[in-house]
Amino acid sequence: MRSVFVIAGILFLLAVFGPFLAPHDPTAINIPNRLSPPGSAYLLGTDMLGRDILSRLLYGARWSLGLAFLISLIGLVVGTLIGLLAALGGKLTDWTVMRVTDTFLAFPDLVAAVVIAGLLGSGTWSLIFALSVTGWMRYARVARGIGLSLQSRGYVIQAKLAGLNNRSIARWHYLPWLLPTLTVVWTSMFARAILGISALGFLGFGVQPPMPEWGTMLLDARIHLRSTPLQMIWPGLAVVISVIVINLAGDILRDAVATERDQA
Amino acid sequence: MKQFLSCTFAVLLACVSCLPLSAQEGSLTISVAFGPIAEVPDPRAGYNGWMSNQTGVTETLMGIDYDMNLYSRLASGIEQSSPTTWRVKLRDGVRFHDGTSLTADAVVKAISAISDETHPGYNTRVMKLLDLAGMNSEGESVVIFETNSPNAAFPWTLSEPAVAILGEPSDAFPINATGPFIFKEAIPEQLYRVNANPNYRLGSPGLEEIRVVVASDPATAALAFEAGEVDMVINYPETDFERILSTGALGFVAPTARLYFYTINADSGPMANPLIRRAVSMTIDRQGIVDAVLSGVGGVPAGTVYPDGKVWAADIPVNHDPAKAEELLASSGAVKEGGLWKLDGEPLEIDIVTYSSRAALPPTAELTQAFLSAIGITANVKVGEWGASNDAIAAGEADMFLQAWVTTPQGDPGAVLEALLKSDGGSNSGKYMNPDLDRLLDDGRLTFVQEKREEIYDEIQQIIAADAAMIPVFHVSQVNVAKPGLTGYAVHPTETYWITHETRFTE
Repeated sequence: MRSVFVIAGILFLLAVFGPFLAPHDPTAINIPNRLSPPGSAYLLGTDMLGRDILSRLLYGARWSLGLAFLISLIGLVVGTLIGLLAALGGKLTDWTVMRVTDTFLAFPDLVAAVVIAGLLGSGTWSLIFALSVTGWMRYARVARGIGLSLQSRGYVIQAKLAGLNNRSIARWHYLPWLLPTLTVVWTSMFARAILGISALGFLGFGVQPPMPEWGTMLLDARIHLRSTPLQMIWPGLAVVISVIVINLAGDILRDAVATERDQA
Repeated sequence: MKQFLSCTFAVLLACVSCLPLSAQEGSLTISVAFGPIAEVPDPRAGYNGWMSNQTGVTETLMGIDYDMNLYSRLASGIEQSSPTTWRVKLRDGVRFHDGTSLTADAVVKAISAISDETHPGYNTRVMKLLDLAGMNSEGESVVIFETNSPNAAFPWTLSEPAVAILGEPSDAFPINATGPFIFKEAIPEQLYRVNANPNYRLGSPGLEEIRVVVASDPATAALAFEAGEVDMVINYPETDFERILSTGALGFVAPTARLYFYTINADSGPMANPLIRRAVSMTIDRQGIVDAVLSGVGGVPAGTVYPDGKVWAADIPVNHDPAKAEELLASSGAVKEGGLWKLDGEPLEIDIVTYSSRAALPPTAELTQAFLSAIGITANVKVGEWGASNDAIAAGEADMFLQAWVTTPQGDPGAVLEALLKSDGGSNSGKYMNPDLDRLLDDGRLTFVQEKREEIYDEIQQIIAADAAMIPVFHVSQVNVAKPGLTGYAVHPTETYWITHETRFTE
């Protein structure tokens, strides 16, 4: 359990401090050294333009993990607000909001994200928008479900009788209950966001050159899959390890939250 | 590690599983980046004629041979009887796929469709090229063409794949042409299938069937070839060419008239300034790009529009001089502050757009970005689709558009330059305007003496280079691979011919 959080911590530190650890400029082109195998000068080798793969991976961590953090955070905030609106807004609001949520859920999120990114054109902002638009619904469902279950609690009824408005009830009586569960959902959505960013990057909709991002690194390297496969393996491993570690961390958090609930 | 490799390979193979399985004996499956756009793509519309010409379905009155010389194809001869009148005699014994004979009336009807707005074969690009005032038949086998003005390129224009000679379509022969192969079906953006025409006038074709499948991603095409799903790949990724040859595959490499170049936004933004355009052009290390992107097999640096060794190439050296580029920037009014160039107080920023269906385009754009960055110009690269990139430059949202065109698709130098750079050119998305260039392009069309024409197109290329009206990067060689057993195939310099009745494939 501890090792999972240690690795997750390392990933976090790499996302923040990776650029300071990079041995080379990730965008520095060095044609004579193109497609170099791993060695002392370039620990993980170089890509087709002679750029250091290790440095690109380290810089790419900031893009891949940083953007995933941002996107999953947007989903968390938007989805929670929508869920609370459904829970506290009355029957008509609840019905309307949840049908909209169901409509969004009906589309496979990655396919919808590809369509949105395709319509908006490639680029970091359209990637953030596309993945945020398709990433809030689970939070909304969870927030609404927990919110409805809290409505009949005595302290909520008492707060209403005391004249507290919905905003205050949500702030003081719902959010403390919601946060542990939403944190667990967030870890899973964080991992999905990493995959989504990589997928859109691989399809050419993501971060634009020359900035490295793991998905776009995979895209650039695909032509060399058979001749210099390591070029694809390094960013592929980075994505796989990050997703596994974050999912494992999410599982551990979920167990902890469940135990705490049981004890309560 | 091996397991991981296998898994990765398997996942990517799954991506190409939409490609149909490889052919039976006597058939050939070819992978290309661009496919048909309709279920029955009229060869006269748009660029549909390229596919039908390449697969041997349609033929034209004139043709271009492998040395870029004009030859009579369905015509047996062409002669000019006045500055605007051309007399084309048809070859005897030619039959359409449905068995009807090729006649002068059929030719007139087929070509008339190009200028008929209500016909699916309507094509304004080719209408402009032909510039016909009228045409009529003289007996069974002579067609008289009358052009609006003298047009030296006219005989060459008759080799344009869109000027395909077609008979009456029917359910059995929706594209009723004269070539060695008969059109069978097309699935938009997926498949183009043709069968042998056993009655072809030059002999029965050596292939029973040709299936052209679309894999817009070059890496996907390469994997499909390696997995045995296709027999041949047109435009194989250059960077993997050496390795694939080592597996026993056949390689076909030859220079073509295709040029990778930047269309520039001459209407707005920094590239509207000729000094900045020239500076940008001088900053690009074309040899470096050729070495990195084409792996030494795919082409040569380009200083001018037409490739060396062809009749139209001007003697303009490739010019890579970053120091001179900085001088030009200084004289354009730009100021270097803190290592970055500024223009009117704002950072000099150039937006480059390109598309990914040709493997060499995105890395070429990235290298250009790096070369510009090295002298202090900020460049942004956006890789999208061709249409989106073209729209971006036309709307003034981008400054440079990296694309790849065959510069002499009909063998004559005028057509493409008129489309790309003439003030009213149909593909002048960068809105370049130069009255001198317009006049010279008109002169080139109106002049019939070859030596004089060569001088005119030489001067045109000098103007393009001096004004950086477009920025040539490299002349490409087409790189194709096939399974062993393919014979009777060679790379054509205009890329508009692939398969003949002599092409054979025995696995």
